[in-house]
Amino acid sequence: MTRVPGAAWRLLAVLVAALLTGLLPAGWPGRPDLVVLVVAAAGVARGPGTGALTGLAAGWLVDLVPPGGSPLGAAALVYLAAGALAGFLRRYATWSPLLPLLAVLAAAGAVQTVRVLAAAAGAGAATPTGALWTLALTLVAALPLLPLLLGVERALDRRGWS
Amino acid sequence: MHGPGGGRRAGRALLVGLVLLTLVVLVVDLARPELLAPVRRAAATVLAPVQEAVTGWRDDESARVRRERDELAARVAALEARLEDEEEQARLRATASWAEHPLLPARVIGFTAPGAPVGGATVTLDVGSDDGVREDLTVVSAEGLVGRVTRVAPASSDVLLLGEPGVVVAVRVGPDGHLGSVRAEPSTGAVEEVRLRLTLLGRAEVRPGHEVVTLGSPDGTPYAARVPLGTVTEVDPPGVRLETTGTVTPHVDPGTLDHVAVVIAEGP
Repeated sequence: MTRVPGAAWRLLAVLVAALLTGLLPAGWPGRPDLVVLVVAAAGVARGPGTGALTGLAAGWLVDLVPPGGSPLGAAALVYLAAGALAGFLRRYATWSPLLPLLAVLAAAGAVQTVRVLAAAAGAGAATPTGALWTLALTLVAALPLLPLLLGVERALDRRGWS
Repeated sequence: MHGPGGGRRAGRALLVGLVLLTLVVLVVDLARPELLAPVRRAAATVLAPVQEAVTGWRDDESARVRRERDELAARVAALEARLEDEEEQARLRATASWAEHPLLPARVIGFTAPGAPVGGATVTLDVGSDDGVREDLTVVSAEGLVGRVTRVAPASSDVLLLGEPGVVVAVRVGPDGHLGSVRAEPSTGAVEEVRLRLTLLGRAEVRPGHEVVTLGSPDGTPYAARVPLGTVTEVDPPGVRLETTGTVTPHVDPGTLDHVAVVIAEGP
């Protein structure tokens, strides 16, 4: 019984997601938020505590991977909330097999809402249209990636490693 | 060994501790950003080479697939790509003939994440202080002004793009060179493309289609002189305002940035 492999896996997953996300540019109206996908998967598989911790680590990476975010720590708190939100939705997991997807939508929606509100308040540049594109593309990316992430979480759980 | 309750308590204590730490960092970064600059620089030193490697892999991957399909076609494609690169570099040098300063070619290796709470107009370049990049240097592309350097790490640097709220550039407009300034419009609506607000000093004859270039500073920082910035697309009807205002569409599309150059000015 150790939790190290689970934590290491989530850290690796958010690191890869944070590095890949910065590399998806070029003319698209929006980009998928792969980081929130990993955070929501951890939350929905393990509950609000793990979701929040994964979100905190993921947000720190979003803040620190160049060009990073400003102020330092803001993304950490926002992703923490997103991970905890996905974790709270876990108790309704028996209601529908689509719930993990819904949790991704809720978590990504929370992140994008903060972004658009910040832009409306004069901090940063973000449009509602861009946020909606990011939401849609994140859901598209979730279709293949979410079952994979949840499968890894289940495998870790079976071995008592999560 | 923790019991289930003990483990949960420990996890909660860890979470609370980390959140408090994050809040402290957040407040410190808002109050004294320079205190945390070493943290950002350390992260950039570690992560930028990875980003650079992954960006390179993205280019090589398409070349590799082509080689698998047809060895000869792949070689042609690689040569064409290099030719295109050189043409772009040459165009860059031609555009930048306004500047007597040397240009340092660079590539964009990172964009602000789509989940960053303060949506940014910032990109990361693959050159840093080791290459002679300093804060406040101008960054240009073949089309025109890109922005200015805000943060520098040994092998990477972050560029604040035109269009970020708060960025104001002094400009000259039209053939007569009317003085004015350009700043980003707040992006509250669903406006897709970047549009910039032009404010001239006093009333002036400016028409849509007039070119906007940077005014520049004596030492070339933060903006070098006479860099093409954009085109006037609208001029507001003269109302009770004392100055002429309008809208500028920038030449550079921040979504498709790739090859750029840093104008190495000799500093103050």
